[in-house]
Amino acid sequence: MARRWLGAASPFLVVATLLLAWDGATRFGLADPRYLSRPWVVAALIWEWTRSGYILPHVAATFVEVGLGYVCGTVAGMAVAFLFFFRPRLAELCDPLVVLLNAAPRAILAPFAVLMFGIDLASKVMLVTLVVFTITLLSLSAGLKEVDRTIVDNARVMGAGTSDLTRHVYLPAALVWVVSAMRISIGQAFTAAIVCELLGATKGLGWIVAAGQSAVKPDWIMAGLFFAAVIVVLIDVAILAPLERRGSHWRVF
Amino acid sequence: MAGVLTRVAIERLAVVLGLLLLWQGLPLVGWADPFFISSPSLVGQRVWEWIADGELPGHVLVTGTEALAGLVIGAVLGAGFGLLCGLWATAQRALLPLMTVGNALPRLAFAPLLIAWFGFGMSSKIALAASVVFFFIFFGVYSGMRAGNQMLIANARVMGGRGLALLWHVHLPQAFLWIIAGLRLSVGYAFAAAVIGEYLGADRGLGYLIVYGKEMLDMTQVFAGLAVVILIVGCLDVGLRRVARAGWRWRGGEMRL
Amino acid sequence: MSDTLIALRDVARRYPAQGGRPTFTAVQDITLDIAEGSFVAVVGPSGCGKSTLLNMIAGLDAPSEGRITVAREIVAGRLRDDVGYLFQKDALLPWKTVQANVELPLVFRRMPGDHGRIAREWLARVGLAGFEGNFPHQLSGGMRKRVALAATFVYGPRILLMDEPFSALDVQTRNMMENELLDLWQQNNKTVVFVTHDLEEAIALADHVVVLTANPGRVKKQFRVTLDRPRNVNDIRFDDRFRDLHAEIWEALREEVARSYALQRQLVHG
Repeated sequence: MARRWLGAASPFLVVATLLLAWDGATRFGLADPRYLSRPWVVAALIWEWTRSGYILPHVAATFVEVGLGYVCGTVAGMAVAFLFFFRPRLAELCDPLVVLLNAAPRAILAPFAVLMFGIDLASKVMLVTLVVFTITLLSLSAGLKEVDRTIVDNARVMGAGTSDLTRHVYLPAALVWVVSAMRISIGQAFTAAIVCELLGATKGLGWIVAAGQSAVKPDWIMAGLFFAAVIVVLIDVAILAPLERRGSHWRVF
Repeated sequence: MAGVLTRVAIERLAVVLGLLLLWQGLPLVGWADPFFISSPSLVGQRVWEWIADGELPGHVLVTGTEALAGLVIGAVLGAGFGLLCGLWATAQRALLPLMTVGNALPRLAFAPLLIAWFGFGMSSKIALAASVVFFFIFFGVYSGMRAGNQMLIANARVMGGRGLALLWHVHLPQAFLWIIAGLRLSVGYAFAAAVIGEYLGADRGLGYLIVYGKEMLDMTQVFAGLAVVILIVGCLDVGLRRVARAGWRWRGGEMRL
Repeated sequence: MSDTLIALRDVARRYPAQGGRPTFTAVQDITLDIAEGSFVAVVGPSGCGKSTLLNMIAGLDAPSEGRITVAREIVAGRLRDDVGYLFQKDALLPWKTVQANVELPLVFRRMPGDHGRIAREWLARVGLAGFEGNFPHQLSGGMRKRVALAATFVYGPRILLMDEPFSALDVQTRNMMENELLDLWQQNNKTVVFVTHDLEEAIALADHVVVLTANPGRVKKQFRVTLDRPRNVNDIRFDDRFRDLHAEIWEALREEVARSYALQRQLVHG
């Protein structure tokens, strides 16, 4: 029993050790607290921002950017994936473009987005949309190809047309892939939004981090990233992972 | 058969060329502002200038070194921790939850933190690239060893495999496979990490070129820099795929990458 | 009748409840004596714990209750060095050549002698001379099985555990492999425990057939197979005594297969 308890506690022990090492390093002159800050300073700032509600509008701003981009990217990705699936000729012709889209992590396009769409909401939504669109398109295209031929043929024999097939076979199958694409893309979507904010914004978590960077306030950088990390992990653990599990219980093909 | 293949290739080329022409032509008919969209000829010209005046190789070298060093450091550390967690249950219990959380983090956004820690030089970009690659390789090796093939290991143990011999003949080759698979995924991310690190504080490198273009409101420069990055990553990806295909004669057996 | 080599006494294996699933009992009350040099086949419906039984004898798994002894030494989750195990699926290392795969157990055990030569001899004996440099994925399923057989015999284990080793092969290849196994067994005086769900295969190969019940697996009945040796598995199926035995054992097995089927239906339909 004691061993099991220790097993469950061991990750926290590792974290505590790291925090202590961080604190010790700054205390004994191994690291400069001007650049590394201190655990308690960062914790106090996190608490202060939470208590005063200062962080709320910034969290909300990043949230809205990612949320809008998510919806646009998922819808567009699904639409194009279905279009490509039913028009393979078109998919064949557009293949180089898809490869190009997938060539490098999309977050590097942030300077382009900021220059093209400005420092407000639009540039972040565009970039997140692009990120989610690409992942949805690739995941769903692969998924649709995996739908069992036998199920499709069987439905055909029973008299299903393209629209029936889409509604009863392809869409339900697609949902599983869309959800798994959402899970893959959540981290990248936040990364894209925050990198975009770092390069030009007036609010948002990335803006806080950028402000901390230009004012050489490492506690601001860390507290800002802390909120970003907590949100991403929470969304993944609390929403997307259960959703994926629920979807996968009938995923037999 | 060959005829069909070339036809598709030609058609694809036509699509790409058509889009480039459209890009070039839109400002001419007044439907778009060349300030915002630049044009393929301008971008090509800029890249050519960079090559001609000898500026480009230096920047490519900086970014490439950062990405490569990050790749190596991240891969070695990731493989080491992956093996550790795969082989030793205590390490797995202590570290796996942290790795899972770490993997979910928007790590590329951590660039400012690493710049604050490691300064504006190359080391902060190397650290960023390594931190991204680390998790890819860690999970590649770890899950490879888990899901990998319990039966292979049981069989080797029955045959008398123990300790170091088992590690050398079974665990390491298996881990190596997953490292190769993880490396392909990592190359793009290592470059992106180096470039994004350079966006946020550098005076050299491709990312610096791009973000300088952004500051100068010079879309041509942004496009030219991005084009070079994507070209390099694309070539590396194709190259690695070739190497992976040619190098592993035994591929195709149980190992699906 | 020679001495008992493997003895199981009231052996049970339970897997503790986990994540909402209740405790699962794979096998229970297993008492069994296996004589040195005999060929014992264990048959039973799917999911009756046949593989668990083999894993426990090999020492890959330990019984929750009861005791297993091999050559009067207790096996409790410790691997013995005189056991060979042939798995249902391929367990060859895909990154090693056929030759290196067969040499591996010799390397593991630091056996004396010329490993290369010994491995080549065994490969020749299973009819794979000339394939030493190939990788497993370049061979057919039957050939890979032969390599696995060579890699098991090469280090001379006293006991051979086989978990449905031929079930993935087509019928012709399978019969050939069964005959080859019988030849190898008779030349080398091994003790074989052969798990299968195919009753014909069990009777054709074994001296004793042990029928297990549906989950949890218990010993339902044991049968002696008195067919003459050497046998040819292709011909022996037409022997009258084979048919009588088959009818007799099937009588015992049929009930369990039906029960196993009912259990699975219960699981699916709650």
